[in-house]
Amino acid sequence: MNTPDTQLKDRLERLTEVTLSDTARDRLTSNLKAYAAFHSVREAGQGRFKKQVPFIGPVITLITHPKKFMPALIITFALLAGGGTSLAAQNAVPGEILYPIKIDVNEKVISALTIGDEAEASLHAKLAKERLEEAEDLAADGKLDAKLALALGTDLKAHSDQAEKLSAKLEAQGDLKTSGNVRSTIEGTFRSYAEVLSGLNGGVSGNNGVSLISDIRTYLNAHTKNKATTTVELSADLSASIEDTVEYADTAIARASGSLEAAEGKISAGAYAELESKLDAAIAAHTAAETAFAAKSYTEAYAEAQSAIRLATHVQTKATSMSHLKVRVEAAGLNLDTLLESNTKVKAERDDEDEAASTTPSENKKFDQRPQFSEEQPQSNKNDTNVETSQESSVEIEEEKLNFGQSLRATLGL
Amino acid sequence: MKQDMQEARFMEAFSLYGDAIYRFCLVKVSNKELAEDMTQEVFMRYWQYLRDGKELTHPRALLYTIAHNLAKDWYKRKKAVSLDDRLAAGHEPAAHGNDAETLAQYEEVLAAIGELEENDREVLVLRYLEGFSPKEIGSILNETANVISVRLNRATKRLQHTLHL
Repeated sequence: MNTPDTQLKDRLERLTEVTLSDTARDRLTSNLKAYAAFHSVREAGQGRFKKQVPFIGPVITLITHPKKFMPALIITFALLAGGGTSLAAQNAVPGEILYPIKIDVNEKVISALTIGDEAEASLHAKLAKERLEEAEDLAADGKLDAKLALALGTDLKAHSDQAEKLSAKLEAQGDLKTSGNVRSTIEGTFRSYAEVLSGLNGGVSGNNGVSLISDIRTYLNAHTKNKATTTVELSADLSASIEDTVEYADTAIARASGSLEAAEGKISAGAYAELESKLDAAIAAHTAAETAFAAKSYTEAYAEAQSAIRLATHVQTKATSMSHLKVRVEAAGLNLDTLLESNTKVKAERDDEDEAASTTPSENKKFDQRPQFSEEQPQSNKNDTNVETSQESSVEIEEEKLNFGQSLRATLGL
Repeated sequence: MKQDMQEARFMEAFSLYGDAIYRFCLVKVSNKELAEDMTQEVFMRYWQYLRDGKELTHPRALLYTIAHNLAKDWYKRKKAVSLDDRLAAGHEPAAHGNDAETLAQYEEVLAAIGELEENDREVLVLRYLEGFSPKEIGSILNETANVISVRLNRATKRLQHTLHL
Protein backbone atom coordinates (compact mmCIF):
# COMPACT_ATOMS: atom_id res chain seq x y z
CA MET A 1 0.00 0.00 0.00
CA ASN A 2 1.46 3.24 -1.10
CA THR A 3 -1.48 5.61 -1.08
CA PRO A 4 -1.05 9.37 -0.86
CA ASP A 5 -2.10 9.09 2.79
CA THR A 6 0.62 6.65 3.76
CA GLN A 7 3.18 8.49 1.64
CA LEU A 8 2.40 11.71 3.43
CA LYS A 9 2.44 10.01 6.80
CA ASP A 10 5.83 8.51 6.06
CA ARG A 11 7.28 11.80 4.98
CA LEU A 12 5.91 13.60 7.99
CA GLU A 13 7.13 10.92 10.33
CA ARG A 14 10.61 11.28 8.96
CA LEU A 15 10.61 14.79 10.29
CA THR A 16 10.95 13.31 13.77
CA GLU A 17 14.60 13.05 12.84
CA VAL A 18 14.79 16.81 13.08
CA THR A 19 16.31 17.47 16.48
CA LEU A 20 18.10 20.21 18.31
CA SER A 21 21.70 20.51 17.20
CA ASP A 22 24.28 19.40 19.76
CA THR A 23 25.39 22.99 20.28
CA ALA A 24 21.85 24.17 20.83
CA ARG A 25 21.13 21.26 23.16
CA ASP A 26 24.20 22.04 25.27
CA ARG A 27 23.35 25.72 25.37
CA LEU A 28 19.75 25.08 26.38
CA THR A 29 20.75 22.48 28.95
CA SER A 30 23.15 24.84 30.64
CA ASN A 31 20.72 27.79 30.47
CA LEU A 32 17.91 25.72 31.93
CA LYS A 33 20.08 24.38 34.72
CA ALA A 34 21.17 27.91 35.62
CA TYR A 35 17.57 29.09 35.47
CA ALA A 36 16.36 26.32 37.77
CA ALA A 37 19.18 26.99 40.22
CA PHE A 38 18.50 30.71 40.23
CA HIS A 39 14.75 30.34 40.70
CA SER A 40 15.00 27.76 43.41
CA VAL A 41 12.15 25.56 44.61
CA ARG A 42 9.90 27.00 47.29
CA GLU A 43 10.20 24.55 50.09
CA ALA A 44 7.27 24.10 52.42
CA GLY A 45 8.04 24.22 56.10
CA GLN A 46 11.36 25.96 55.69
CA GLY A 47 10.17 29.23 54.30
CA ARG A 48 10.65 30.20 50.76
CA PHE A 49 13.96 31.89 51.12
CA LYS A 50 16.06 30.07 53.60
CA LYS A 51 18.83 28.53 51.57
CA GLN A 52 22.23 30.02 52.32
CA VAL A 53 25.71 29.10 51.24
CA PRO A 54 27.75 27.68 54.15
CA PHE A 55 30.79 29.97 53.94
CA ILE A 56 28.70 33.03 54.67
CA GLY A 57 27.91 31.85 58.21
CA PRO A 58 31.26 32.53 59.90
CA VAL A 59 31.50 35.90 58.18
CA ILE A 60 28.17 36.91 59.60
CA THR A 61 29.16 35.99 63.14
CA LEU A 62 32.30 38.09 62.83
CA ILE A 63 30.35 41.21 62.15
CA THR A 64 28.43 42.44 65.12
CA HIS A 65 27.18 45.63 63.52
CA PRO A 66 26.28 44.61 60.02
CA LYS A 67 24.67 47.89 59.16
CA LYS A 68 27.88 49.79 59.67
CA PHE A 69 29.83 47.45 57.44
CA MET A 70 27.13 46.86 54.89
CA PRO A 71 28.53 48.78 51.90
CA ALA A 72 31.96 47.17 52.15
CA LEU A 73 30.39 43.83 52.82
CA ILE A 74 28.15 43.96 49.78
CA ILE A 75 30.94 45.00 47.47
CA THR A 76 33.30 42.38 48.89
CA PHE A 77 30.73 39.64 48.55
CA ALA A 78 29.74 40.70 45.10
CA LEU A 79 33.35 40.92 43.90
CA LEU A 80 34.77 37.85 45.56
CA ALA A 81 31.94 35.43 45.27
CA GLY A 82 30.18 36.75 42.19
CA GLY A 83 27.26 34.60 41.12
CA GLY A 84 27.31 32.40 44.21
CA THR A 85 26.43 35.28 46.49
CA SER A 86 23.77 36.50 44.14
CA LEU A 87 22.19 33.07 44.18
CA ALA A 88 22.31 32.87 47.95
CA ALA A 89 20.94 36.38 48.24
CA GLN A 90 17.98 35.47 46.08
CA ASN A 91 16.71 33.43 49.01
CA ALA A 92 17.08 36.18 51.61
CA VAL A 93 14.28 37.91 53.48
CA PRO A 94 14.42 41.46 54.91
CA GLY A 95 16.65 41.72 57.95
CA GLU A 96 19.06 39.12 56.62
CA ILE A 97 22.51 40.20 55.66
CA LEU A 98 22.21 39.21 52.02
CA TYR A 99 18.88 40.90 51.50
CA PRO A 100 20.36 44.19 50.17
CA ILE A 101 22.17 42.16 47.51
CA LYS A 102 18.90 40.65 46.43
CA ILE A 103 17.25 44.07 46.17
CA ASP A 104 20.11 46.25 45.01
CA VAL A 105 22.11 43.85 42.89
CA ASN A 106 19.99 40.91 41.72
CA GLU A 107 16.76 42.74 41.09
CA LYS A 108 18.46 45.73 39.54
CA VAL A 109 20.35 43.48 37.16
CA ILE A 110 17.17 41.64 36.22
CA SER A 111 15.43 44.96 35.78
CA ALA A 112 18.24 46.27 33.58
CA LEU A 113 18.02 43.14 31.44
CA THR A 114 14.28 43.45 31.07
CA ILE A 115 13.53 45.30 27.90
CA GLY A 116 10.18 46.65 26.81
CA ASP A 117 7.27 48.16 28.71
CA GLU A 118 5.33 44.93 28.57
CA ALA A 119 8.06 42.84 30.21
CA GLU A 120 8.85 45.59 32.70
CA ALA A 121 5.23 45.92 33.81
CA SER A 122 5.09 42.17 34.42
CA LEU A 123 8.43 42.30 36.24
CA HIS A 124 7.19 44.98 38.63
CA ALA A 125 4.08 42.91 39.32
CA LYS A 126 6.34 39.94 40.02
CA LEU A 127 8.63 41.91 42.33
CA ALA A 128 5.63 43.30 44.20
CA LYS A 129 4.55 39.70 44.77
CA GLU A 130 8.06 38.83 45.92
CA ARG A 131 7.84 41.57 48.61
CA LEU A 132 4.51 40.17 49.75
CA GLU A 133 5.93 36.66 49.97
CA GLU A 134 8.73 38.01 52.11
CA ALA A 135 6.24 39.78 54.35
CA GLU A 136 4.31 36.54 54.68
CA ASP A 137 7.43 34.59 55.61
CA LEU A 138 8.44 37.20 58.17
CA ALA A 139 4.94 37.38 59.62
CA ALA A 140 4.71 33.61 59.90
CA ASP A 141 7.96 33.63 61.86
CA GLY A 142 6.78 36.51 64.04
CA LYS A 143 9.61 38.63 62.66
CA LEU A 144 7.59 41.25 60.86
CA ASP A 145 8.49 44.30 62.92
CA ALA A 146 7.34 47.82 62.21
CA LYS A 147 10.58 48.82 60.52
CA LEU A 148 10.62 45.88 58.13
CA ALA A 149 6.94 46.38 57.44
CA LEU A 150 7.64 49.98 56.53
CA ALA A 151 10.56 49.08 54.27
CA LEU A 152 8.52 46.41 52.52
CA GLY A 153 5.62 48.83 52.15
CA THR A 154 7.89 51.43 50.53
CA ASP A 155 9.32 48.97 48.06
CA LEU A 156 5.90 47.56 47.37
CA LYS A 157 4.63 51.02 46.56
CA ALA A 158 7.52 51.62 44.15
CA HIS A 159 6.75 48.42 42.22
CA SER A 160 3.04 48.95 42.40
CA ASP A 161 3.39 52.51 41.07
CA GLN A 162 5.71 51.44 38.28
CA ALA A 163 3.45 48.58 37.26
CA GLU A 164 0.51 50.95 37.21
CA LYS A 165 2.39 53.61 35.25
CA LEU A 166 3.46 51.10 32.62
CA SER A 167 -0.01 49.55 32.52
CA ALA A 168 -1.50 52.95 31.81
CA LYS A 169 1.08 53.54 29.08
CA LEU A 170 0.45 50.16 27.50
CA GLU A 171 -3.25 50.73 27.66
CA ALA A 172 -2.84 54.04 25.88
CA GLN A 173 -0.90 52.18 23.19
CA GLY A 174 -3.72 49.69 22.79
CA ASP A 175 -2.01 46.79 24.58
CA LEU A 176 -5.02 45.99 26.69
CA LYS A 177 -3.86 42.46 27.25
CA THR A 178 -0.76 43.34 29.25
CA SER A 179 -2.27 46.29 31.08
CA GLY A 180 -5.34 44.28 32.00
CA ASN A 181 -3.32 41.25 33.03
CA VAL A 182 -0.89 43.21 35.15
CA ARG A 183 -3.58 45.16 36.95
CA SER A 184 -5.82 42.18 37.54
CA THR A 185 -2.91 40.01 38.63
CA ILE A 186 -1.72 42.64 41.10
CA GLU A 187 -5.23 43.10 42.37
CA GLY A 188 -5.73 39.37 42.94
CA THR A 189 -2.31 38.98 44.53
CA PHE A 190 -2.66 42.00 46.83
CA ARG A 191 -6.12 40.90 47.89
CA SER A 192 -4.89 37.45 48.87
CA TYR A 193 -1.90 38.72 50.80
CA ALA A 194 -3.92 41.41 52.56
CA GLU A 195 -6.14 38.61 53.86
CA VAL A 196 -3.39 36.20 54.80
CA LEU A 197 -1.26 38.91 56.40
CA SER A 198 -4.20 40.28 58.39
CA GLY A 199 -4.61 36.84 59.89
CA LEU A 200 -0.95 36.37 60.65
CA ASN A 201 -0.40 39.90 61.82
CA GLY A 202 -2.76 39.74 64.77
CA GLY A 203 -1.88 36.19 65.66
CA VAL A 204 1.87 36.04 65.28
CA SER A 205 3.46 39.38 64.55
CA GLY A 206 2.15 41.42 67.46
CA ASN A 207 0.22 43.69 65.10
CA ASN A 208 3.43 45.19 63.71
CA GLY A 209 2.39 44.73 60.11
CA VAL A 210 -0.67 46.92 60.38
CA SER A 211 0.79 49.78 58.32
CA LEU A 212 1.89 47.35 55.64
CA ILE A 213 -1.56 45.82 55.42
CA SER A 214 -3.07 49.27 55.21
CA ASP A 215 -0.59 50.07 52.41
CA ILE A 216 -1.50 46.91 50.53
CA ARG A 217 -5.17 47.76 50.73
CA THR A 218 -4.51 51.31 49.56
CA TYR A 219 -2.53 50.14 46.53
CA LEU A 220 -5.14 47.50 45.86
CA ASN A 221 -7.86 50.09 45.78
CA ALA A 222 -5.75 52.32 43.57
CA HIS A 223 -5.40 49.54 41.00
CA THR A 224 -9.09 48.76 41.21
CA LYS A 225 -9.89 52.40 40.69
CA ASN A 226 -7.56 52.82 37.74
CA LYS A 227 -8.89 49.71 36.11
CA ALA A 228 -12.46 50.88 36.55
CA THR A 229 -11.92 54.41 35.32
CA THR A 230 -9.93 53.38 32.29
CA THR A 231 -12.40 50.80 31.06
CA VAL A 232 -13.39 53.18 28.34
CA GLU A 233 -15.26 52.56 25.16
CA LEU A 234 -13.40 49.75 23.48
CA SER A 235 -13.69 49.55 19.78
CA ALA A 236 -13.48 46.65 17.37
CA ASP A 237 -9.89 47.42 16.34
CA LEU A 238 -8.85 46.44 19.86
CA SER A 239 -10.71 43.16 19.64
CA ALA A 240 -7.56 41.06 19.20
CA SER A 241 -6.09 42.46 22.40
CA ILE A 242 -9.37 41.90 24.24
CA GLU A 243 -9.56 38.37 22.93
CA ASP A 244 -6.06 37.80 24.33
CA THR A 245 -7.22 39.00 27.70
CA VAL A 246 -10.19 36.64 27.58
CA GLU A 247 -7.87 33.78 26.66
CA TYR A 248 -5.43 34.69 29.39
CA ALA A 249 -8.31 34.55 31.87
CA ASP A 250 -8.80 30.95 30.83
CA THR A 251 -5.12 30.19 31.46
CA ALA A 252 -5.29 31.94 34.83
CA ILE A 253 -8.32 29.82 35.77
CA ALA A 254 -6.53 26.63 34.75
CA ARG A 255 -3.57 27.57 36.95
CA ALA A 256 -5.81 28.52 39.86
CA SER A 257 -7.65 25.25 39.51
CA GLY A 258 -4.33 23.37 39.65
CA SER A 259 -3.20 25.27 42.74
CA LEU A 260 -6.51 24.69 44.47
CA GLU A 261 -6.39 21.00 43.67
CA ALA A 262 -2.87 20.80 45.10
CA ALA A 263 -4.03 22.60 48.25
CA GLU A 264 -6.91 20.20 48.90
CA GLY A 265 -6.42 18.49 52.23
CA LYS A 266 -3.68 20.96 53.16
CA ILE A 267 -6.02 23.84 53.89
CA SER A 268 -9.18 23.84 56.01
CA ALA A 269 -12.45 22.70 54.45
CA GLY A 270 -13.87 26.18 54.99
CA ALA A 271 -11.00 27.89 53.23
CA TYR A 272 -11.18 25.35 50.41
CA ALA A 273 -14.90 25.91 49.94
CA GLU A 274 -14.39 29.67 49.94
CA LEU A 275 -11.71 29.45 47.27
CA GLU A 276 -13.74 26.96 45.27
CA SER A 277 -16.66 29.35 45.14
CA LYS A 278 -14.30 32.14 44.05
CA LEU A 279 -13.00 29.88 41.31
CA ASP A 280 -16.58 29.23 40.22
CA ALA A 281 -17.10 32.97 40.10
CA ALA A 282 -13.95 33.30 37.96
CA ILE A 283 -15.25 30.63 35.58
CA ALA A 284 -18.62 32.37 35.41
CA ALA A 285 -16.88 35.70 34.67
CA HIS A 286 -14.83 34.05 31.94
CA THR A 287 -17.94 32.55 30.37
CA ALA A 288 -19.60 35.96 30.53
CA ALA A 289 -16.50 37.47 28.90
CA GLU A 290 -16.64 34.95 26.07
CA THR A 291 -20.34 35.56 25.54
CA ALA A 292 -19.85 39.32 25.56
CA PHE A 293 -16.92 39.02 23.15
CA ALA A 294 -18.97 36.91 20.77
CA ALA A 295 -21.69 39.55 20.95
CA LYS A 296 -19.03 42.22 20.21
CA SER A 297 -19.66 43.90 23.58
CA TYR A 298 -15.96 44.55 23.95
CA THR A 299 -16.06 46.78 27.01
CA GLU A 300 -18.04 44.20 28.90
CA ALA A 301 -15.88 41.32 27.66
CA TYR A 302 -12.74 43.13 28.82
CA ALA A 303 -14.20 43.93 32.24
CA GLU A 304 -15.43 40.36 32.75
CA ALA A 305 -12.11 38.89 31.64
CA GLN A 306 -10.24 41.11 34.07
CA SER A 307 -12.59 40.12 36.81
CA ALA A 308 -11.93 36.45 36.00
CA ILE A 309 -8.15 37.03 36.07
CA ARG A 310 -8.39 38.87 39.37
CA LEU A 311 -10.46 36.12 40.98
CA ALA A 312 -8.31 33.33 39.55
CA THR A 313 -5.08 35.02 40.71
CA HIS A 314 -6.63 35.48 44.12
CA VAL A 315 -7.53 31.78 44.32
CA GLN A 316 -4.13 30.67 43.05
CA THR A 317 -2.13 32.94 45.33
CA LYS A 318 -4.18 32.21 48.40
CA ALA A 319 -4.30 28.45 47.87
CA THR A 320 -0.53 28.30 47.40
CA SER A 321 0.14 30.69 50.24
CA MET A 322 -2.21 28.97 52.72
CA SER A 323 -0.91 25.49 52.08
CA HIS A 324 2.66 26.78 52.34
CA LEU A 325 1.85 28.56 55.59
CA LYS A 326 0.03 25.65 57.12
CA VAL A 327 3.06 23.42 56.85
CA ARG A 328 5.27 26.17 58.10
CA VAL A 329 3.15 27.32 61.03
CA GLU A 330 2.42 23.78 62.14
CA ALA A 331 6.11 22.99 62.05
CA ALA A 332 6.42 25.72 64.67
CA GLY A 333 3.84 23.92 66.84
CA LEU A 334 0.95 26.28 66.09
CA ASN A 335 -2.35 25.79 64.40
CA LEU A 336 -3.00 27.94 61.37
CA ASP A 337 -6.78 27.68 61.53
CA THR A 338 -6.89 28.85 65.15
CA LEU A 339 -4.45 31.57 64.29
CA LEU A 340 -6.47 32.85 61.40
CA GLU A 341 -9.84 32.37 63.07
CA SER A 342 -8.92 34.86 65.78
CA ASN A 343 -9.12 37.43 63.06
CA THR A 344 -12.08 36.01 61.22
CA LYS A 345 -14.39 38.82 62.12
CA VAL A 346 -12.12 41.56 60.90
CA LYS A 347 -11.22 39.55 57.86
CA ALA A 348 -14.86 38.89 56.97
CA GLU A 349 -15.59 42.61 57.12
CA ARG A 350 -12.65 43.34 54.92
CA ASP A 351 -13.66 40.63 52.49
CA ASP A 352 -16.99 42.35 52.11
CA GLU A 353 -15.26 45.62 51.60
CA ASP A 354 -12.92 44.19 49.00
CA GLU A 355 -15.81 42.82 47.03
CA ALA A 356 -17.63 46.12 47.40
CA ALA A 357 -14.61 48.02 46.16
CA SER A 358 -14.54 46.06 42.97
CA THR A 359 -18.25 45.75 42.31
CA THR A 360 -20.50 48.22 44.05
CA PRO A 361 -18.63 51.38 44.94
CA SER A 362 -21.74 53.10 46.21
CA GLU A 363 -21.89 50.72 49.15
CA ASN A 364 -18.51 51.75 50.45
CA LYS A 365 -19.85 54.29 52.92
CA LYS A 366 -19.76 51.94 55.86
CA PHE A 367 -16.02 51.46 55.53
CA ASP A 368 -15.16 55.11 55.68
CA GLN A 369 -13.40 54.76 59.01
CA ARG A 370 -10.24 53.47 57.46
CA PRO A 371 -7.69 55.77 55.86
CA GLN A 372 -7.99 54.51 52.34
CA PHE A 373 -9.88 55.62 49.30
CA SER A 374 -12.67 53.82 47.62
CA GLU A 375 -12.97 53.14 43.94
CA GLU A 376 -15.14 55.97 42.73
CA GLN A 377 -14.49 58.57 45.39
CA PRO A 378 -10.80 58.67 45.87
CA GLN A 379 -10.48 61.93 47.73
CA SER A 380 -13.93 63.37 47.69
CA ASN A 381 -16.76 64.33 50.05
CA LYS A 382 -17.49 61.26 52.15
CA ASN A 383 -13.91 60.50 52.92
CA ASP A 384 -12.90 64.05 53.73
CA THR A 385 -13.20 63.80 57.50
CA ASN A 386 -11.31 60.58 57.62
CA VAL A 387 -8.64 61.79 55.29
CA GLU A 388 -8.15 64.73 57.61
CA THR A 389 -8.08 62.66 60.79
CA SER A 390 -5.58 60.29 59.30
CA GLN A 391 -3.58 62.98 57.59
CA GLU A 392 -1.26 63.55 60.50
CA SER A 393 -0.35 59.91 60.89
CA SER A 394 0.01 59.54 57.12
CA VAL A 395 2.48 62.41 57.07
CA GLU A 396 4.40 60.79 59.88
CA ILE A 397 4.48 57.49 58.08
CA GLU A 398 5.54 59.20 54.87
CA GLU A 399 8.34 60.99 56.69
CA GLU A 400 9.45 57.83 58.35
CA LYS A 401 9.42 56.06 55.01
CA LEU A 402 11.45 58.83 53.48
CA ASN A 403 13.96 58.77 56.31
CA PHE A 404 14.23 55.05 56.18
CA GLY A 405 14.72 55.11 52.42
CA GLN A 406 17.42 57.76 52.75
CA SER A 407 19.24 55.97 55.53
CA LEU A 408 19.06 52.72 53.60
CA ARG A 409 20.52 54.33 50.52
CA ALA A 410 23.21 56.01 52.61
CA THR A 411 24.00 52.72 54.30
CA LEU A 412 24.30 51.02 50.98
CA GLY A 413 26.40 53.83 49.61
CA LEU A 414 23.93 54.51 46.80
CA MET B 1 16.46 17.68 48.71
CA LYS B 2 13.45 19.02 46.90
CA GLN B 3 15.48 21.32 44.65
CA ASP B 4 17.63 18.44 43.41
CA MET B 5 14.61 16.23 42.91
CA GLN B 6 12.68 18.84 40.94
CA GLU B 7 15.79 19.77 38.95
CA ALA B 8 16.31 16.14 38.03
CA ARG B 9 12.69 15.90 36.96
CA PHE B 10 13.09 19.13 34.99
CA MET B 11 16.20 18.03 33.12
CA GLU B 12 14.68 14.64 32.44
CA ALA B 13 11.68 16.32 30.85
CA PHE B 14 14.03 18.38 28.69
CA SER B 15 15.96 15.34 27.57
CA LEU B 16 12.75 13.43 26.81
CA TYR B 17 10.72 16.16 25.16
CA GLY B 18 13.23 18.87 24.20
CA ASP B 19 13.49 17.70 20.60
CA ALA B 20 9.77 17.24 20.18
CA ILE B 21 9.01 20.69 21.54
CA TYR B 22 11.74 22.12 19.31
CA ARG B 23 10.16 20.48 16.24
CA PHE B 24 6.78 21.79 17.22
CA CYS B 25 8.18 25.31 17.64
CA LEU B 26 10.18 25.04 14.42
CA VAL B 27 7.15 24.13 12.39
CA LYS B 28 5.19 26.93 14.04
CA VAL B 29 7.73 29.72 13.55
CA SER B 30 9.90 28.43 10.69
CA ASN B 31 13.08 29.81 12.18
CA LYS B 32 15.77 27.76 13.82
CA GLU B 33 17.09 30.30 16.34
CA LEU B 34 13.65 31.45 17.30
CA ALA B 35 12.49 27.84 17.72
CA GLU B 36 15.43 27.19 20.02
CA ASP B 37 14.65 30.25 22.08
CA MET B 38 11.00 29.28 22.26
CA THR B 39 11.94 25.77 23.36
CA GLN B 40 13.98 27.28 26.15
CA GLU B 41 11.12 29.55 27.16
CA VAL B 42 8.69 26.62 27.19
CA PHE B 43 10.87 24.73 29.63
CA MET B 44 11.47 27.82 31.78
CA ARG B 45 7.74 28.19 32.16
CA TYR B 46 7.47 24.52 32.95
CA TRP B 47 10.04 25.04 35.72
CA GLN B 48 7.71 27.55 37.31
CA TYR B 49 5.24 24.71 37.79
CA LEU B 50 7.88 22.44 39.27
CA ARG B 51 9.23 25.25 41.39
CA ASP B 52 6.01 25.44 43.34
CA GLY B 53 6.41 21.79 44.18
CA LYS B 54 3.86 20.55 41.67
CA GLU B 55 4.39 17.07 40.43
CA LEU B 56 3.18 16.34 36.96
CA THR B 57 3.39 12.73 35.96
CA HIS B 58 2.68 13.57 32.33
CA PRO B 59 4.25 16.92 31.52
CA ARG B 60 4.14 16.31 27.77
CA ALA B 61 0.72 17.77 27.10
CA LEU B 62 1.45 20.74 29.33
CA LEU B 63 4.67 21.44 27.43
CA TYR B 64 2.79 21.49 24.14
CA THR B 65 0.13 23.74 25.60
CA ILE B 66 2.79 26.20 26.73
CA ALA B 67 4.49 26.01 23.33
CA HIS B 68 1.17 26.53 21.57
CA ASN B 69 0.42 29.63 23.63
CA LEU B 70 3.89 31.05 23.10
CA ALA B 71 3.65 30.54 19.37
CA LYS B 72 0.25 32.18 19.35
CA ASP B 73 1.67 35.25 21.07
CA TRP B 74 4.47 35.30 18.57
CA TYR B 75 2.08 35.13 15.62
CA LYS B 76 0.15 38.03 16.96
CA ARG B 77 3.27 40.14 17.14
CA LYS B 78 4.70 39.19 13.85
CA LYS B 79 3.33 37.90 10.62
CA ALA B 80 4.72 34.60 9.44
CA VAL B 81 8.36 34.73 8.46
CA SER B 82 8.86 34.57 4.74
CA LEU B 83 10.17 31.48 3.05
CA ASP B 84 13.41 33.30 2.25
CA ASP B 85 13.95 34.11 5.89
CA ARG B 86 13.27 30.55 6.77
CA LEU B 87 15.76 29.21 4.27
CA ALA B 88 18.29 31.84 5.24
CA ALA B 89 17.94 30.88 8.88
CA GLY B 90 18.33 27.26 7.91
CA HIS B 91 16.95 24.44 9.96
CA GLU B 92 18.78 21.41 8.77
CA PRO B 93 18.30 18.30 10.84
CA ALA B 94 20.96 17.75 13.44
CA ALA B 95 23.21 15.95 11.02
CA HIS B 96 22.92 12.41 12.21
CA GLY B 97 24.65 11.25 9.08
CA ASN B 98 21.85 12.47 6.84
CA ASP B 99 22.74 12.58 3.15
CA ALA B 100 21.95 15.44 0.84
CA GLU B 101 18.86 13.71 -0.55
CA THR B 102 17.33 13.20 2.89
CA LEU B 103 18.05 16.79 3.77
CA ALA B 104 16.38 17.92 0.57
CA GLN B 105 13.32 15.86 1.52
CA TYR B 106 13.17 17.48 4.96
CA GLU B 107 13.40 20.84 3.30
CA GLU B 108 10.65 20.02 0.88
CA VAL B 109 8.26 18.79 3.56
CA LEU B 110 9.08 21.66 5.90
CA ALA B 111 8.63 24.15 3.07
CA ALA B 112 5.27 22.58 2.20
CA ILE B 113 4.19 22.69 5.84
CA GLY B 114 5.35 26.29 5.98
CA GLU B 115 2.87 27.12 3.24
CA LEU B 116 -0.03 25.87 5.32
CA GLU B 117 -2.05 27.91 7.75
CA GLU B 118 -0.91 27.95 11.34
CA ASN B 119 -3.86 25.87 12.56
CA ASP B 120 -3.19 23.22 9.94
CA ARG B 121 0.50 22.99 10.75
CA GLU B 122 0.10 22.30 14.41
CA VAL B 123 -2.47 19.53 14.04
CA LEU B 124 -0.29 17.77 11.47
CA VAL B 125 2.76 17.95 13.67
CA LEU B 126 0.96 16.83 16.79
CA ARG B 127 -0.74 13.98 14.95
CA TYR B 128 1.99 12.60 12.71
CA LEU B 129 5.22 13.64 14.36
CA GLU B 130 4.24 13.32 17.97
CA GLY B 131 1.52 10.70 17.70
CA PHE B 132 -1.18 12.44 19.74
CA SER B 133 -4.78 11.33 19.22
CA PRO B 134 -7.30 13.91 17.99
CA LYS B 135 -8.76 13.94 21.49
CA GLU B 136 -5.37 14.69 23.06
CA ILE B 137 -4.68 17.36 20.45
CA GLY B 138 -8.05 18.82 21.31
CA SER B 139 -7.11 19.14 24.94
CA ILE B 140 -3.79 20.78 24.06
CA LEU B 141 -5.33 23.25 21.64
CA ASN B 142 -8.52 23.68 23.62
CA GLU B 143 -10.78 22.39 20.84
CA THR B 144 -13.12 19.42 20.56
CA ALA B 145 -11.89 16.16 19.07
CA ASN B 146 -14.33 16.66 16.19
CA VAL B 147 -12.91 20.04 15.27
CA ILE B 148 -9.43 18.54 15.34
CA SER B 149 -10.44 15.61 13.13
CA VAL B 150 -11.95 17.95 10.58
CA ARG B 151 -8.92 20.22 10.66
CA LEU B 152 -6.59 17.25 10.37
CA ASN B 153 -8.40 15.87 7.40
CA ARG B 154 -8.35 19.23 5.66
CA ALA B 155 -4.68 19.82 6.47
CA THR B 156 -3.71 16.39 5.18
CA LYS B 157 -5.42 17.03 1.85
CA ARG B 158 -3.79 20.42 1.50
CA LEU B 159 -0.35 19.09 2.25
CA GLN B 160 -0.79 16.20 -0.17
CA HIS B 161 -1.80 18.69 -2.80
CA THR B 162 1.27 20.85 -2.15
CA LEU B 163 3.58 17.86 -2.23
CA HIS B 164 1.85 16.50 -5.36
CA LEU B 165 1.09 13.15 -3.73
